[in-house]
Amino acid sequence: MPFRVEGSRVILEGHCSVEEAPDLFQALLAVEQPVFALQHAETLHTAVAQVLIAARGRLETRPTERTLVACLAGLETT
Amino acid sequence: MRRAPAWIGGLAEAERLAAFRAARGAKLTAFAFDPEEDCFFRGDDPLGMVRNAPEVLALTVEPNRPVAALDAVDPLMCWLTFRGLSKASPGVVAEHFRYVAERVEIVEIAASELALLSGARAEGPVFRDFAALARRQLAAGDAAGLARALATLSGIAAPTSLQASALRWCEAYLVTCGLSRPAEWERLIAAVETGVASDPTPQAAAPVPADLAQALALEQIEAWETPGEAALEPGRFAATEHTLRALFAASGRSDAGLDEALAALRDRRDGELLRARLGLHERAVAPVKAAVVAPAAPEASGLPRVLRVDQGKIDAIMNLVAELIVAKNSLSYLAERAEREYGSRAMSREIKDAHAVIDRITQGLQVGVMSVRMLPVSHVLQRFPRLVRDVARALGKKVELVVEGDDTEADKNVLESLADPLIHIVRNSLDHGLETPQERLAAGKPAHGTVRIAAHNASDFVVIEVSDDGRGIDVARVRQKAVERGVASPDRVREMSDAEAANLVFLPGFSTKDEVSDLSGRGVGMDVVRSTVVRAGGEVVLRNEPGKGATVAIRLPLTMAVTRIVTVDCAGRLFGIPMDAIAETLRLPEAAIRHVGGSEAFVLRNAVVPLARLSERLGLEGDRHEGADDEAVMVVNIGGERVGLIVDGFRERMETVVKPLAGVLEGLAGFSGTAMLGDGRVLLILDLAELI
Repeated sequence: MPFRVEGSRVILEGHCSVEEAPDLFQALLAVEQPVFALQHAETLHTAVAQVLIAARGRLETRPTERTLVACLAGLETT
Repeated sequence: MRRAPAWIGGLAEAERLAAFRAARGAKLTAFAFDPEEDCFFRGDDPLGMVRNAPEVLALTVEPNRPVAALDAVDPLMCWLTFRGLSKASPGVVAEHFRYVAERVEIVEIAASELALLSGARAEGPVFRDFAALARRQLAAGDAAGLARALATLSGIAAPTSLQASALRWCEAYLVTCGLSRPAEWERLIAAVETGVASDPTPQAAAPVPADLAQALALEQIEAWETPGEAALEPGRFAATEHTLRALFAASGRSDAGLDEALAALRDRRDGELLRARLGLHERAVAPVKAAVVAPAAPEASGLPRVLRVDQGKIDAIMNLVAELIVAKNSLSYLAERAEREYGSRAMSREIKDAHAVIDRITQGLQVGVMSVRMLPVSHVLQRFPRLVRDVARALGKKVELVVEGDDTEADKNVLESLADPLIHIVRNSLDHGLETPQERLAAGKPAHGTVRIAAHNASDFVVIEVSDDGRGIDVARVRQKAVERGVASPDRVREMSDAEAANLVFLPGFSTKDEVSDLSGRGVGMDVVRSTVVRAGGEVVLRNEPGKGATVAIRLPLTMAVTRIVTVDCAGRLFGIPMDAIAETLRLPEAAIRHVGGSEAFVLRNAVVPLARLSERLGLEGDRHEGADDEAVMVVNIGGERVGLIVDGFRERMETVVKPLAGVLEGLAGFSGTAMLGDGRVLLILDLAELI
């Protein structure tokens, strides 16, 4: 599973494909004020990135990859 | 004069400055990508597409609507939009986004168009003094002095002021362009002086090179000539017209007569007028029409929730289901053994009950997994409009393609095995079947030939028929070639009916064409088509009407994973026969067998059906029941004809996985594969077409 939830911390790792989006979406419905740890996420599918945006969580650290930076620019950092 | 897209102003100034410096004064390509909402269902990943876009210098990603609360969001609907700047040429960027071309707007802009100033106006005489000094330094070519003045004033101007913004752009200009571009310098200096921004001078749109415009226009015309869904046609044509008009304008061509040419394109799908206006040669173009069935309208509640799954995962589940079916078969064997060897009828009954339950669940599982693997045949047929158009053009023929029933579904593996044979058959129709327009007119036919591809389900099979209204197969020529090539003796060929003779085209190495063409005659013939289809568990049937056309029908099982078979006894051995080959089984009284010459036959519902003894065909002994009252006859369909197969007895029906013959058994005549029986024995599956 490329993501796991530890309390409010949602850790994404490796390549997060479109198949993960519905599961991540369901998981985030149960998490209040999630904090996304993307340090070990290599690529996020658009659907996964959209779920992160819609969840309005915070980022543990700013991503470095250009498209992800642009995509998640609206999310605050802890 | 063309202005840069307005969204460029939405890019952060730091990003624009970085892009400006990276461009070093050269032109940039701006792209705006608005993916379709349901693009995930087609396997698109817009973010990934943008991530891999060439030489991206700046990027902004924004939702195309206010983002709803999480619980109101559909995670499989795309609502992000992407705007970016690339150092690559528009052509390279367009090539990257070619599969989503209709969703991407690409514009070439001058780097200077990034110099959009922002901020509040600051007051002070220092700005007027700087402007006067800067103009003098520009006139004197004093770049070093100007750099010092810029650094000094930047240090004291409020960073958020418009003047500070203008000063940052001045510094960027100095670094990348030096003191050239006086108009831009004056605009920036005036902004520092007055605190009022003016737009950068829009660049005159560079004329699009003629060959590029021609190539793009040709693509547009060809794209429109390929029919799509009727409901989308107006929108498609509007987009085509818009692009063609823009290309004509951009390449500096006169638009006289353009309206008429566009009308011909729209109304008759005739792009010849446009091609002529573009200076292309008159060519015989195949206007291709396809009767495409429009997809069902989406549910009012929204898009269906569909998840893309790697095919390997589904295949793995299907293989497990197939193994489960084989394992399940062992229960019936166990039940029989419990009764026979251990004398426990009660235990046997319990095992049979358990078998019935597992059988029901397994069937449900199989149907469920199979339904996941089912795809409409349109996945295979969608390539044909273009194929037919290109091949027809190459051959100088006019062809109309009609596609029917492309929503018929079949297993993905079946469809994959169908693709190559179909291409070959269609090419054969175009190359050998259809006549040239002149020949057709001389024969009293319309100049346009028709190739029809029709798909439908028949029981557990998918049937695809490719027919044409061409010259048909010249049976006399086939007979002659068959003798010349030694594929059949002159006597045998003479005895053949026309239908049988036409089917000689399926023999290996057979071709009636003396010259090998680039298209269908490439060393592989209809024999390869037939062997491919047979290998997939199907059959090919040819119907020929000389002078009127020919039809090739491919019949394939809906799924190749599990095969239903019947086991039969023959000389003390068990063999499997695929259920789909069996028409019926019956007990035939010995007296009903008629001897015709050296052969046996019987009458079934007023039709004479030839008989064949399986033991003789297999070279086995001992199944002729002298004195027996009747014979067990299995009536099978082989190539559309019925044959009665005499066996010793019928055994059980089962679903099993038929493995192709491999290793030393490969190529063993008369058998199509092996299957595992419930007691672990290996069952040979008969290839009736070859055997009989």
